[in-house]
Amino acid sequence: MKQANPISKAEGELIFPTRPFKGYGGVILPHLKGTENCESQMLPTPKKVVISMQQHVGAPCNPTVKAGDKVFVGQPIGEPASYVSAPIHSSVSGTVKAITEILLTSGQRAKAVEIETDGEQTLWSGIKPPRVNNMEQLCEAVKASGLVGLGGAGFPAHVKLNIPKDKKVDTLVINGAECEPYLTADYREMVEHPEDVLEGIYLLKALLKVERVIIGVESNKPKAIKILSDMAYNEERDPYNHVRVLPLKAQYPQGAEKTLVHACTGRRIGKGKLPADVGCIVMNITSVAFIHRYITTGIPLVSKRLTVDGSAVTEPKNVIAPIGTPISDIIRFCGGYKAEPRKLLMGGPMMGITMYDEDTPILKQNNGIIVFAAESVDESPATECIRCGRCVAACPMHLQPLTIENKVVKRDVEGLERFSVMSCMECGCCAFVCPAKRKLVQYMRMGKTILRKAGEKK
Amino acid sequence: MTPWDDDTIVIGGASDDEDISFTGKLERDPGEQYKPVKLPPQKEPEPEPEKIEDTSITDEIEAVIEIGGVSEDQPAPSLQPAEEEEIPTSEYEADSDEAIEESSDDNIEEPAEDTEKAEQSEVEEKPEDKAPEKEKEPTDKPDDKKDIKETDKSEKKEPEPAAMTKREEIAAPISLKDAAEAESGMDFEKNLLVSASPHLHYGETTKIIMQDVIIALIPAAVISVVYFGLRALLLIALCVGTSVLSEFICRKVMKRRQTIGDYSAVVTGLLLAFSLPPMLNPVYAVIGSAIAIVVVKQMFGGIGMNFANPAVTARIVLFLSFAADMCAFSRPFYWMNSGIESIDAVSGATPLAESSMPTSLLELFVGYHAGCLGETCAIALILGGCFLLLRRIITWEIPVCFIGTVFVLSWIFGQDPLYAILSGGVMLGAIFMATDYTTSPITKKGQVIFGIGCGLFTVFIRYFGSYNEGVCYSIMVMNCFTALIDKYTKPTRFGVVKSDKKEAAAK
Repeated sequence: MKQANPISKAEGELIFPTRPFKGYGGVILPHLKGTENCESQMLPTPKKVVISMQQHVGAPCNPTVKAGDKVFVGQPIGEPASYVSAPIHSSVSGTVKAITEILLTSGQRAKAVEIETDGEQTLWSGIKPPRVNNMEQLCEAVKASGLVGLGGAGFPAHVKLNIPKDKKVDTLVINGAECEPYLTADYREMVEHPEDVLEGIYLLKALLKVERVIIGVESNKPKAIKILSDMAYNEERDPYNHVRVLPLKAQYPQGAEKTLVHACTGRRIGKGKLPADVGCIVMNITSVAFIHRYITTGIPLVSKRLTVDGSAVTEPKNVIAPIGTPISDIIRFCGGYKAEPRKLLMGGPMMGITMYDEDTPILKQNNGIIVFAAESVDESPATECIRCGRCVAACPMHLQPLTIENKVVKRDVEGLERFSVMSCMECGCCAFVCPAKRKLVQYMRMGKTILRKAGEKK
Repeated sequence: MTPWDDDTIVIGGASDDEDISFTGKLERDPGEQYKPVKLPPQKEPEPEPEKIEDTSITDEIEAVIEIGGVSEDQPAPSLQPAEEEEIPTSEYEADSDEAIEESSDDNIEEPAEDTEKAEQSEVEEKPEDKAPEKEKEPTDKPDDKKDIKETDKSEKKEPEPAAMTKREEIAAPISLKDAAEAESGMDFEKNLLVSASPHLHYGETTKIIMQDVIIALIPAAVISVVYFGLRALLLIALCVGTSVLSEFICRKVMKRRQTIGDYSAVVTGLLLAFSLPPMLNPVYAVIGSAIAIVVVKQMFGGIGMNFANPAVTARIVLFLSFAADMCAFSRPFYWMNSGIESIDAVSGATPLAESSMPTSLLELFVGYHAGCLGETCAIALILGGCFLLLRRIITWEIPVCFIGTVFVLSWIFGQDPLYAILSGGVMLGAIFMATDYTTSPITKKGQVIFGIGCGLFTVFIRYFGSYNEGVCYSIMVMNCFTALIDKYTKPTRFGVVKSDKKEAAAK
């Protein structure tokens, strides 16, 4: 990495770490990034798309179109019902067939707009690049773009960017870790469109008035690190070299918000706190690139790059698909299955959600579809806990999963509180290392539910 | 716990084999990514054909997958199916070997359905003969089955250079309907499993851990048989056999899931046998093993539930019940002279019980002295311990703290520290018994306390107690402290700083 101008005094005590801060816990996973050299391919427009009105954390949107309406690419079809929500746009041009109801992976039901495509993919006439001169305008623009956290959580981005006045943010952390095995969607973004990423960063840096931008990239992506650090060294745009790439240890869950902020800045986000509380703001690398593209073109979030991989997929690929495309269409584009599929995952293998239906439409925050054949799915039953303590050593939140499991079995509300089950981010490290193959993450979720219910009763 | 520690990648982007020459100039219109939304996708930045690399997972990764419990089924490319012969060779001259390999893959994976499907697709494609070839497959991997059937059309296209073909195919507009009919890959019977994340597993199970412990105990077992003869083999076999049998019966009687398959009973049997004197009455060994499994392990609920180490506890029970027999140690290689001497004549005291020091350190190290079966040979035990450390079955905390404490304390008490750690059951106890997962603390901090505690009690019992040997007692005492240690070494949650702690304490 090139070393540039010495850090100016204006920076104060802010330093750029040359190596990541040492964390605790986590596991080293097989990378399995078989698609990292697969150029992203555009999915041909599917026959129909089903766009869910709930694609984010927060309140679902209300559909603004009705059956029979003609819609175009980028046309808003879902109106946010509350502040913590993001509008939803049509990803295709065509005719609205029906307003249906679909079952989401969380078990909730949500309205969905079913659109029959005409294959023209005509842009909506109302698309125009927004004017952005300050933070308020940026938040407005980001809200209008329908951007949600593309790392997987799907938290509306404008809420994240709207920092309360009393909190001072001095660091922008860009999440390019992509620590999940198989997934290469963010990596392809970094390799294919690094200039979008950098332009987006410069924009956010100028508007947020932050003096330090750290792009955290796992060291298993040397090509992305090289491209980004070469580009980040740009004397015209960034004379003091305030944008730097930090190679992170290739360790799971490096891309989790709290872990990433700690690795990049050494600051720890407490329970129930946000990155803004420690002066940081975290953006996913694809989100940043999208913001720049939105500012230049005005086309809202209508398509998403997905990694399609797994032992049952004939041709693993990176596919750019319109939001709402059924999974089956994407898999068909990837040559179909080469073995009988047993597990269909939305997301990476560590935190991904299993699908029971191939026709589930993809959402904004999806970044991968992994299909495992029967022989690579372990269905052996869990055995007794042998108290080996591996889950304790692996937990990045410093919890004791095995103790929490005991408390869940006993329905011990007070014990669950004491062992702070709510801090669990369900990364799955504990279950990954468990030699007894216990479903620890499931117990954690149960523990959270028990606590929530107990809280409601009070 | 990190078998894939393949951090050979040079950090900082200094990879030698990549020719990345990014100028940092904006060569592309930033909004271009959106243009492909409007079909036809010719506007998509054309991927260079060289960049389209073989996406199949390499052997190295495949090996890793197998460790990770997820095995990829990739047949060897050399397996050419019979169907391949039908293909005119001229058609494939332009294509790289890669394409053929891949197409052969496709054929192998569905051999039974292949012909059927091909026929099907033929029938389905007939009405669409007018459709140009390029509308059907956009990928760099042409569907070979279709090519076979539509030789006439593909011949027109194929003679072009491979690079050109690929590029055109990618740029060609396709409709999913055609692709769907051409594909047979979607016809699988869907039997999708829904389960909680994560969907990967480290691959190490209780059974594998116990297997590793057994492997680590093998050197000591071999040495014990060499030193103490077939008598040692008999004791080991009896202990292991009784342990497994009593576990089997217990689980049957309790109507619980059978657990003999995880080999934990074998480990208990081995460890118990190792702490018995060679000339012990075999009946006692059977009694001891039954106590270890039935009373100490299964009565508390089986593996993972017992509060004390079964082998250690069984030894203590035997020691208290049959004190004289449990102290009748024999010198190594007594069996060579057994024809002349009686058993009583060869029994000798363990080095710990001898007032003077007749055994040299070297003899202690290789185990050439009287003692229990598996305890004598320090080097074999250390070898096993190193294996366990390398396999990350145990961590250094307990053995090092245990042995270190014994070393330092004996030295303070004016004894030969090396003699103290090499004699008696310190090595066996510290490496194999105290590190038992179930009965030791779960946190690193707790393990350090546990190890030090074991060391303290061992030395105290040896020097202030009436017993010569204190290892098993110290481990059992510390086992009882484990729950307490766990309670007070609860790791601080991530993100909690000192001020938060004080606040919580104030509440």
